[in-house]
Amino acid sequence: MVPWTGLSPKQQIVCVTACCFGVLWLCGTAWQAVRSPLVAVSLASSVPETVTVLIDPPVDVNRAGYEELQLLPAIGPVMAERILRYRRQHGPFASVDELARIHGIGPKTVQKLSYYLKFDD
Amino acid sequence: MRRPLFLVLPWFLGGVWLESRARLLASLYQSSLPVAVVPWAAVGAAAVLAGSWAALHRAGRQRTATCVICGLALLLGLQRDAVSRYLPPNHLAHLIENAVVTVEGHLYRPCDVRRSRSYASKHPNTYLYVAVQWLELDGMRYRVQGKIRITLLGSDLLREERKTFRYGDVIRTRLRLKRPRNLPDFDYREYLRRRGIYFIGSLKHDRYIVKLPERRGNPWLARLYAVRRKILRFFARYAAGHPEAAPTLQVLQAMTLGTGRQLPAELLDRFRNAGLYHLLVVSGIHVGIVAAALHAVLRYGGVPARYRLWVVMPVLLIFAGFCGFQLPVLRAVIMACVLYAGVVLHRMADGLYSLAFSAAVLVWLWPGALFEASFQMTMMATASILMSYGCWSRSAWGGTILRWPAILRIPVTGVLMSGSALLGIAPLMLSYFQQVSPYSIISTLAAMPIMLALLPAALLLEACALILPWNWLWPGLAAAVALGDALVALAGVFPPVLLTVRQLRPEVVWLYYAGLFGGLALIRRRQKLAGPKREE
Repeated sequence: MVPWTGLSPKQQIVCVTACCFGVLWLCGTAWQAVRSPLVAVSLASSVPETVTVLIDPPVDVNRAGYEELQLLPAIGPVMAERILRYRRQHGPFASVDELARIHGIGPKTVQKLSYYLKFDD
Repeated sequence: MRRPLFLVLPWFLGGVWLESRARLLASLYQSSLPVAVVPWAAVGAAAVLAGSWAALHRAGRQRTATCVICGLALLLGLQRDAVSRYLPPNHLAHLIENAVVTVEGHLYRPCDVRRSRSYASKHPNTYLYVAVQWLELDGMRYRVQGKIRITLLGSDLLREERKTFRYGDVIRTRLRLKRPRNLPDFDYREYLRRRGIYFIGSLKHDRYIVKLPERRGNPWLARLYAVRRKILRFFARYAAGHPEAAPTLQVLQAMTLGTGRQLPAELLDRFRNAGLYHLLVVSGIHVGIVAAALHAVLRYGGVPARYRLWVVMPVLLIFAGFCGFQLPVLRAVIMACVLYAGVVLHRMADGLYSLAFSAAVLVWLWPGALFEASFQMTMMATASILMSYGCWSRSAWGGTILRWPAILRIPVTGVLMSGSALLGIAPLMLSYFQQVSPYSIISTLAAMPIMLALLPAALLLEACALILPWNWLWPGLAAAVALGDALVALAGVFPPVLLTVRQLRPEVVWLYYAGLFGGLALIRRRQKLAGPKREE
């Protein structure tokens, strides 16, 4: 039976270096995680433009195409088609409330959409 | 000692296991101590151990110095698991428990389309994995980190009128996020936690998700997944013209791209009953075929051996990416790379050592992998195959088998390897699933000729689909579908009989593996000792 002699000096150096490097790396990771502060911005800010940008890049409802309209919440292919048809028949939308005239868009949807829309001239 | 990893790895894995059970360091992180103290305390402990090692090493006490290294590996394992469990102050979990919130983040992995267990279910659910960057709650917008999983109920991404979600897409949605519910016999919450997911939510329609016009994530991974999508489109285009081939094409995709979870429950059950379920998981055999094919092409092309390595390794990693970086594939890829590097660079090329290396790498990257059934099964099956092969190939009867002509040698070797793999995974299957198929060895052997033709053909077709016009490949794909049909038919031959047993206790599983691997190591040692005597 060959007696156990442990690792050779070279192997020991490699193992110790690897383990120490590993522990240091993990401590660095933990240190970075510990120092991640919780940053918050009030949505009820007095600067509405800032909030709008933070919420979502707004979609210009008078220029958006079929695909882009579907990026909006509660707007699927059918509603997108109806919005486009309404725009063709009645011209550009002046305000978000005008969307309520489209069949299938109620006050709740209008309120939801109001955060995501802009009306350029 | 020739292989230090065999000594250090068990201590590292033991540290991860111990921390997951006892939460020694994790409890310190959550204690009233200033949290920044804990990482530095770990550094201090490591410094003390390293200093002790240096003193012992200088004093020439190599055995004691080696024991200190084991302690250092244990500390590393403890620290690795504790860090993976630590949630920073800006983590989602500190803000919500069960609430309707608006979240914004990017998809950190491709969508997963999964079918429900119901046979009648036509539309699969789509899982979106989101790394959240912003969370809006009670009039405040928080910069956060954390992962969530959103289930799009009954959706089907293949339908054109639906939105498409890809890796890196930044999305914004409002939904109820809640902690996952545990199942009666499965800790689902812990299962998702190991993947970094602490909250789940569901949406009835993708219209409630806004895709923002920006992209995040790794651009290289985005390219890799784009190529994968192209291959999936290749299969979908063929399936559109040949609807009857759709189930077989799904089997081909599962075997080559790791999309097994999208298969209908009926088909999955058929393979499970026949003991052929492992064929639907991309694993060592697939990686072996890719590596062997590449090696042959490069060798034929006259590429020098050391440069072949720099082609084979990236291609294997890309292949792992195609399969969604699943643990069995990564295990096989790391093993193949280490073995191939050993052979090409004329260094030690040992299967068991490369297996240990792959285990170390995977547990270092994902400590939770240690507790995953797929990781445990792939490791145990491979270890069992390698150790059994080491024993029987050196025995008198094994030597005779290896000298047989290929037509006899390959099936007999296949049976022996299947048997070894079954020995390796049987207690885990009984422990996790309480079921095992009685036909596993026979069915695997019967499926082997089909697999040997089907797998290289399917992989070659996928590679060609990236560069050649697809209509040139339809005849080849039709032939692959015919082979796939044969495999599906073979899986249907076996009557649905599964041996159901009581769940094995962990102690029994530990004892089994101690007995199995201890016995195999003993046989191997005896053979080594008997070897020189026989020569004398």
